[in-house]
Amino acid sequence: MNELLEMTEARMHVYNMLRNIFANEPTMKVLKSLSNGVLKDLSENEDVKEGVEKMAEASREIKNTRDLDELHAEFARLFLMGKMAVPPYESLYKGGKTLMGDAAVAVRKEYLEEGLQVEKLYQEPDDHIATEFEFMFFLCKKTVAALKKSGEKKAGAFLAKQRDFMETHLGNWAPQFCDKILDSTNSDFYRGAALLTKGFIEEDSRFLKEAGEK
Amino acid sequence: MKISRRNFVKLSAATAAAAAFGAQSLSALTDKVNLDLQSGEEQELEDKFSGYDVKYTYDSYCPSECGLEVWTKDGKVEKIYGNYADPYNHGKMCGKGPLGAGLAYSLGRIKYPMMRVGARGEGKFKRVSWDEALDHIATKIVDIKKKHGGESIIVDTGDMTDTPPYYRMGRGMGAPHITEHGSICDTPRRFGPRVFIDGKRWEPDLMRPTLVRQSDGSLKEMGYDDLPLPKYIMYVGWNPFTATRIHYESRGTVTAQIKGCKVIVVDPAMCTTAAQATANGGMWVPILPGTDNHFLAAILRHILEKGYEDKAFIDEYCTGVEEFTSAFKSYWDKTDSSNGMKYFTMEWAADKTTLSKDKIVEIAEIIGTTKPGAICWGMNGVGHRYAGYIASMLGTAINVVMGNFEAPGGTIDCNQVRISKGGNAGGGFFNGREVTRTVNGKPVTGKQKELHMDEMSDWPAGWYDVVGDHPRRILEGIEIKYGPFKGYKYPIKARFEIGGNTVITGSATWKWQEMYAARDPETGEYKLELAVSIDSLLLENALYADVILPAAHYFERYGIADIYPSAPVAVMREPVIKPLGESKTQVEIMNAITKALYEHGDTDIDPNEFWLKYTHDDIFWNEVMEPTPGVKNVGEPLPYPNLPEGYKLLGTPDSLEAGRVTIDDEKKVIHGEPITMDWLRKNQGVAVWPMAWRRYKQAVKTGSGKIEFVWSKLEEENEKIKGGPRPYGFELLEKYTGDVWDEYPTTFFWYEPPYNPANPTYAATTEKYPFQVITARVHQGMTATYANPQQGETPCDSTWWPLNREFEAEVAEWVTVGNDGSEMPKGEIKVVNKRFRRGTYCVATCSMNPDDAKAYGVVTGDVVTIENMLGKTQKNVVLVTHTIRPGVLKLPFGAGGRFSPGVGTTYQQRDYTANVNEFVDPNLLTPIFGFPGYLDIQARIVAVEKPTFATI
Amino acid sequence: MVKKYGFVIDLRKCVACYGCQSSCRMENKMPMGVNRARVGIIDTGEYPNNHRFFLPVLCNHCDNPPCVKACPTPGATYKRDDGLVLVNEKLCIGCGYCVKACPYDARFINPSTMVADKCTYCAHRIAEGLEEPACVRNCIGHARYFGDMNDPNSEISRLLAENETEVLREGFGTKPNTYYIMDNRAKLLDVSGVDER
Repeated sequence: MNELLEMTEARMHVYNMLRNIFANEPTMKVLKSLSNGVLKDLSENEDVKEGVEKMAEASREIKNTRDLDELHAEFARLFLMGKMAVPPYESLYKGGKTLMGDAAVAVRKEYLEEGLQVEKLYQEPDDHIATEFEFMFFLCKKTVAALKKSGEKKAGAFLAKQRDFMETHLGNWAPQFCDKILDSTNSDFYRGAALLTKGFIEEDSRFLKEAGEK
Repeated sequence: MKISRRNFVKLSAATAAAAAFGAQSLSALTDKVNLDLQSGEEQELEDKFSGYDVKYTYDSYCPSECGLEVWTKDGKVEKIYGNYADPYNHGKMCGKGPLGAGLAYSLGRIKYPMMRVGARGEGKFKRVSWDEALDHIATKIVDIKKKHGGESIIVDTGDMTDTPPYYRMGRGMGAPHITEHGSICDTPRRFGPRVFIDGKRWEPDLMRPTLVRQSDGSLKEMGYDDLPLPKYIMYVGWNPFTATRIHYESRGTVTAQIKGCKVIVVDPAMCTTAAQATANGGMWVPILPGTDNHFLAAILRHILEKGYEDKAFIDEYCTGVEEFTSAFKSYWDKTDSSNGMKYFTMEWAADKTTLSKDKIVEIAEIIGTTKPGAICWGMNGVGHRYAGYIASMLGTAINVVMGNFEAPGGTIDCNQVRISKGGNAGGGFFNGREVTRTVNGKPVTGKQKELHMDEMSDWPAGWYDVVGDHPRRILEGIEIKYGPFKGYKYPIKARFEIGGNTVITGSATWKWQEMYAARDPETGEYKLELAVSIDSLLLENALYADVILPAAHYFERYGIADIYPSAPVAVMREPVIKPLGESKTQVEIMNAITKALYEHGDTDIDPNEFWLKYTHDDIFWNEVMEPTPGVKNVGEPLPYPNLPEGYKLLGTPDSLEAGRVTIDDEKKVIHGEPITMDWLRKNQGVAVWPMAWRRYKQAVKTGSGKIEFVWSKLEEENEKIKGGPRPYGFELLEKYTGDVWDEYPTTFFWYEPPYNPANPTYAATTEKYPFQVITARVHQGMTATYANPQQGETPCDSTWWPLNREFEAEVAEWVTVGNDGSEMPKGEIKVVNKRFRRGTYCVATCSMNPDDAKAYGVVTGDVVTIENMLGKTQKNVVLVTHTIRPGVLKLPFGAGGRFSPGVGTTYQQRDYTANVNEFVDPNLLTPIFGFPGYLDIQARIVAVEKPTFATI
Repeated sequence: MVKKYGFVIDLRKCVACYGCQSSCRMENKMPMGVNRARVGIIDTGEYPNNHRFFLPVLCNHCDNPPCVKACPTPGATYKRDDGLVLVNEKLCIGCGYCVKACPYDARFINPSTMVADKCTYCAHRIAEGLEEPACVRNCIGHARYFGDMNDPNSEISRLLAENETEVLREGFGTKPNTYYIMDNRAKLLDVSGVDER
């Protein structure tokens, strides 16, 4: 049980981090921590290791405000409306052509089942990758609480929910999204982030699948 | 559970990373809805009985909609009790509610979409996917709309209060006529309250406990010992104990009786209420069916002659009383040629009703000299009669002139005081859309609602829509007679039946079957091109559908109930179990159908008004409650003395109580915190606002602000029809009674009931058909609930009696696994093949008086063949009983002649039980509302079959 | 003080809704054809002076239970200290003697379990502190009462003290514990409640 609790807490933190990577541009403080190797032992997965290494290297290269501005500009070019070289919305993957598509509505429903809703409903698409990461974070958080309160009994349901969400949504397009980043940017920071994400998603999918088997 | 030994992510690193990126922020997702919310009571029970989940919801076994406390385990319904927080039923049930699992898990459940194979009525279907079913519906509707417009679609939303999503759906797709069960429930019964005060249902003031503001400012629940109760209650053709339609009338009537209330039950049969009344100092008045009008008219005449009326009340709160009494008194000196007596005298009434003159005088004296009191008239006795308006009008008038309306212990119009709900959620605003049609070659633009098939056509005063006339309208087509589209003609090409069973209930079954089977002579296609049935049980209506969609059962869906309490109460419904099979909630179906229409090119549908907006049922029902409670802060004692009197109240009881409000002095509205599904979840599913009496300022919603004896509502209709064609209802009136109207009556009026021995015009029919057939509910109440085999063991009213022939049926029933007293009883619902021995199971039973039985050589158990005045014959098994007067046959509604296999055990009895609606004259539609004369049936017995070994 | 459970049914308030029967079936998972609680409908007299009475019945948990006497298997049916007469399903052999012995038709052989079955005053609810059988929980007319007759302050003790009651088949000596508060019988002989012509 303790193992499961530890795993869930760890995953919870990782999802929080992933959310922050794709929701906002990184601050100097974050870059400092990364260059100090805070993520060094995060995982044994090859992609994660490589990704973490790249992000650390890139962080060390940011020495002044101008470097930082360049990094922020790359974030905007990749993920923000306007250029959006790599759209971070599920609706635009797997054959979808418009924003606020079926995927956005479907995940909105999932969130609501857990009592959650995006703050800027109808204005910001619900299927932004950062929001989906945040949802996984919440589910992990609830799982942790359930584990601490009543042991594995209720946790099963939450883990099942995470697996469903991974299989139906996140895991379905995140790898593609990461590959697209790798094809679209020379920024080591974001190439690293893509690898880290890809590797973690792969591991987590497998983990959730296993956890579901009795 | 299995997890890999290989930790793919290290906690320490992860924690550090998270810290590096900053504390968890909830900037994207915020807590919105908490579906796990509970009140303390649920938690307490769940702690005691581990493994059980307790939820509060409300019933839909019958329209009473009692608050429920449901226990589930492993996703199955286990226990059903009443919800104490709901003052309406105060934690109690009746013989139906606890058997709810029998319906949810019934063999007749529709679990997946189906499409018809073969002809309509054959009952052959194939299973299809939702996509396929929606594709068919959408393709057809889009095509129909292109050719004939949205007005060629009818959406009948069937029963009760779960209907707003379907109203929205129908109006959104361009259909102005969205109907509901009320249209064929009991509209004549509502006539009086509607025209006098814009109300609906008058019930005795018997709901206790009720929340009342005390003089020290606190709120207290006051019970039967704390508040005045009626000193007499007269139920005219109303059997609350069996119909259990108004739950508190059961406990209220018996309690009042014990405290000395005189209960008078006017009914040709000794129904359960009459039986109980006579055992406790009350009266059974076995009146000739259909002469309640004559009875009440004599009582009113007596009251006025003796000067018993409350003149002060009349002066202050009523208007038009002089014209009304003048019109009423104009009959006093006239002689009724049928019996040579003066109208409305006691002799005259005794002759018409066959009651003794002394008895009617005794009752009139009670009513005239006892206060407070209540006269209550029923769905069947008054509400189902062609001349029912008159009894309703007289009952209302008597209650008012005696000063009993809204008096403590008097009579309350529970529709006037109910909460407001629906608002924009029902899509009424769609009806204001501009549409253009070609009328006589020219383009005309008007509003969607001005294409209404009833109000703007044959039934200008059809306030409750006219479902009873749908077959004729579908066969003949619609012509608009009023408004900008006058002269415009269109056919009805599509009909949705949702949760209703109009093939049995709509009027004469054969007429509806004729309509569904009718073909266009040119194309050979069905005239009604699309028939969709959306229901949870496979009933007769579904047999005539082209597409059947599975609707969630009441344990599986959402809603807000509010109808019958005498103070504002809101009760939530939410799923206690997951929908069986592929069934969906109303909001889900609304979304699915509108989305399919949109994808097929229907430009009337805006995604932002349907599936993009209502991603969860909660969002819809919260919107439904935006105008809640919507009642005014009026009455004695004033509900909220800390808030402005007369202003409209919106918001939760606690926010209003605490003064957490904003006050809009311009619009005179008090805004408390909006009431939501979550608030209800935290409060045991119920919101209760304070009771008050004498809410005249709100309880009279007429234009004049007074109780109207000259009816402005019908004056308005007369303005509308002025110079126009004669309303269809007037033609029928002339045909059936000889009375000629050229406008709607605006004060007291009179006509004699058709198909009645008391009406000399029908002397010939009476001679040939000496019996009157009456009907009423048995416990089940609705045609769907016969699908619960468990109700076969609850006899009632001499019309649902264990007189079955031996039969075998597959039923889903409880199978006991273990019971040793101290452990929770174990069992599960299983499908078993069961043999029902003769005389052990209830079937539709025809009650017959022993004198009549003797004359025909009939004993209990014989099967008689009954022929109605139109020559239709049906068989029914008989119970010879003293609980019915001679000359009358009583058959239960919906209990016999059922031909859908979905009703299970009742289907097995179809050969020797009658569907009483087959005897209805489908053209007998009341002059104002177009309501079928369900109870105006004359009949004779043409054969008697004795049981044989072959038939037993 | 040891509890002694008893039952009061106020016949003035029964409206023959069958809620007791239905609640009991739901609570105790009863198959069709058998009932632990029933309502009798009794017709007397002739139109128009006839009457119809409702008589809800259930096991009376007698103080002198003939069913216990008739049982050949020791302990298969027994009377508890608090008054409840119960069946031990593990011991009952389903012979049916007790069914015949009961003068109230309160016992039967359950077709699913094949052993004797009867009202248990919902002992499983009492065990959790809910002294309220399902039939009492749901009775629409508030006509049924259950409680401890040894507690002078209980509702049932108060009702017994304030009302005249009758029991069924008193002469059999079974000492039943269901007490009926009667209808207003005297008036019935008067036939004042019915119209005559």
